[in-house]
Amino acid sequence: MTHIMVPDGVLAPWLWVGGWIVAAMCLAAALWATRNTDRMRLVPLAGTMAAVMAIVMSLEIVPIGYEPHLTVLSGILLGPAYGFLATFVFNILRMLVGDGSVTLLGLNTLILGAESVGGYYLFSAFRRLTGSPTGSGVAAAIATVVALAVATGLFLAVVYIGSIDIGAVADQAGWDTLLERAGTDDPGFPVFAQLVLILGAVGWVIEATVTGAIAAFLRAVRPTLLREAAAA
Amino acid sequence: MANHVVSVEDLRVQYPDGRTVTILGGPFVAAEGERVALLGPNGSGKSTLLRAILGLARATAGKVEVLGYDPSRDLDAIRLRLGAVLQDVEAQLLAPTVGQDLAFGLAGRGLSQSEVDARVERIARAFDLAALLDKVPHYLSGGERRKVALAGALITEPELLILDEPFAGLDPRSRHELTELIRAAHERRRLTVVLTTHEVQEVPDLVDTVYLLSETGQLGGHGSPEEIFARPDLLAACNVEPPPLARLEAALQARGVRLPLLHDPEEMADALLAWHEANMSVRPAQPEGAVPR
Amino acid sequence: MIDVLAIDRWSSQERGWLHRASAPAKLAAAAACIAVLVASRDVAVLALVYGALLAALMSSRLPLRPLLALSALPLAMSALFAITRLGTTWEAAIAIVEKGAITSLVLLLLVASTPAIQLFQVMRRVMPRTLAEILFLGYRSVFLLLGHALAAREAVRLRSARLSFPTRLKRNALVGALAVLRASELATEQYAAMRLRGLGASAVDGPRWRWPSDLNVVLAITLLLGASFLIGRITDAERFLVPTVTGPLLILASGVARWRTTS
Repeated sequence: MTHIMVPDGVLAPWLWVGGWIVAAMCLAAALWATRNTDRMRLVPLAGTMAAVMAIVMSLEIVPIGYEPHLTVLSGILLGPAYGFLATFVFNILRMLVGDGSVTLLGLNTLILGAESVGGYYLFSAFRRLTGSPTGSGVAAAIATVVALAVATGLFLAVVYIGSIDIGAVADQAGWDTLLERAGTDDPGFPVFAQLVLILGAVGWVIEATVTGAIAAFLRAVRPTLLREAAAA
Repeated sequence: MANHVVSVEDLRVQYPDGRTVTILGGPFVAAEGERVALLGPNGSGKSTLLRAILGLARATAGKVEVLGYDPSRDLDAIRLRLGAVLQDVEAQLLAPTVGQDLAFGLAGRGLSQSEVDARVERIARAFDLAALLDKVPHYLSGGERRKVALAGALITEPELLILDEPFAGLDPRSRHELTELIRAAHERRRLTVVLTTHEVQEVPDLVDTVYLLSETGQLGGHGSPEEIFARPDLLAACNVEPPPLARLEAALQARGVRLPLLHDPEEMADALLAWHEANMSVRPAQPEGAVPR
Repeated sequence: MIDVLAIDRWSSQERGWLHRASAPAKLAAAAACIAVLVASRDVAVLALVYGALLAALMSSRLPLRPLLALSALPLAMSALFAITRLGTTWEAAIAIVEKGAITSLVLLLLVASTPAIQLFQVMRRVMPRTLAEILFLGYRSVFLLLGHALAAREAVRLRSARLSFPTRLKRNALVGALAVLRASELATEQYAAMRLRGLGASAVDGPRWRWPSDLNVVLAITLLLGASFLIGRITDAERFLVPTVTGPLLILASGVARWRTTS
């Protein structure tokens, strides 16, 4: 689970404003990529997948209380562009139940969107395995672990960079100096990072199991759902 | 309360969206081997009562006892003894093929794979599903999906079977088929059955006891189908229309023609003719010019 | 997401002063609160903002306990983050928790007092059409799919004996699988219905400002911003006096107002 659950106003403004700007650019790129697609099929599917992500997250289907996101699955089913859009809408739907940060919507969209986009390309790379339900499940599971690991790295990078006091180093030149100062005002970061990585690894395995099981089921029951994303 | 498989009294349930459903009166009971139908209008609380019996809805007031346990607290103690087919049948078809779905409920019960396969084969034959074992259940017809769901509930040989609107959306032939399957399952194992339905014409053939639930959640009366369907006042209060034959019987009774409540139109016609032969000894005069029979 | 059913009900059925205000006014007020918590790290200022939000909740017709419980859910992560920052100052840690509480409560007040369709109508004015359609369909689909998903979860529970964790996990994943299957079937029908009913039209009438109901919101937020600014200017411990005194007074007054309107 790589959603940044840091309250509003904690990370430096330049970071989340930057996140919003980059997210807006990615949304624009995703919208541009959808211009010649089968809108009648994919727009509603993106909407319903955003709902599925929000619902499954809240249903406590994992006995130990972990909340799967299914962002990787949405990328597999929708393709990278619609998967990214669905992820953005999923974040908004979370906010509508008071679970989410307004200022970090951009950064969260980027991180979760990376899972969705990365998940699609990773699943495609393992497409040779998807000739059977089991193979599809394994491919989806591998894609999930890798995508979530990368997203966790992005998440930690955001938090790490967010601890840099840009104002204090503004008059000093050099990237090295910047990196030296990073994290030094934040002695809690190593502890935080360790916690995130340990818990995160457990989460990757759980989410991979869930995503793999769903992909295997869909491959058995509605294989076109997994194939059509390639055409999206 | 002894020997009652199910007992519910003065139930109140609050749903996550804040709605409260109250079922007053009772107790609503089902004895071992008894088949009970709960009739009432939409929104009266029928499904809520069934969900409370299955431990899916926690009562904020009142008492629910199933096989001696409070199902909302101790569902694990009785789960293996329950079988259910809920309103949303599609949500219960959990596996990619019919065969796997039938076997779904047998996992974790200490059965070997060969025993599981044998049970699946047996119930598939009984339910005429053998040709569908490799099919995806979601793409079957409505009647077939319900049969799969019912077979999946019965394969575990439960003591109590809960059916929420089992006939909804089915054509008459599928309804009849399902009725026969439920009856056969009950006869085979003295199964206790609790069901809700709007298809009142199936009720006289299928159940031993009928409970009525009014719009306001009040348990309005209970008895055998004959007793209940002969009470138009109770039925009207609970917005339940009796089966056509029961209406005919009531109309005839109002005109002085006393007949037993029968479930088969052929038998009803024979009984009516017999009554006519016995009671109408004077033939009416033939009109002038009529050809004598 | 299960709470979305309750939130949707509260937003459309209750009739407090918050409900009477327009969506644009409430969005602006929420944005102002977020702006304060972004700009300020002052524990006293943040306490005042939270107190004001509590007062708004108490004086509205919204259910107190369920909403407060919902708003407390994200606090666990805020507290975790605050703990890892305890090496700095205690004030910084408390401010982090306050910020989490404020965001959560302000969003809940917004969505629990404003029907989602009105919020979407405002958002559609600033969003590209495709994104707005996905958002609208997504919100609708939550209601259409949630019941089905809950039924599937119940079916898994009823049809499963005690099983190992991995088996339980894979079985529970079927809930997601069925939700996706249902979603794919629902999607095309929904879009067709939406188009037929004209919800894809380019010109959409959004909710207008409502006077004088919006005046309450504007006045409240102006006072709050003003007070926050003033407190922020006080640099010594006396600044804690303001929220310590005004906070309980606000909450007490709101409670009395609530009691009078509901009794």
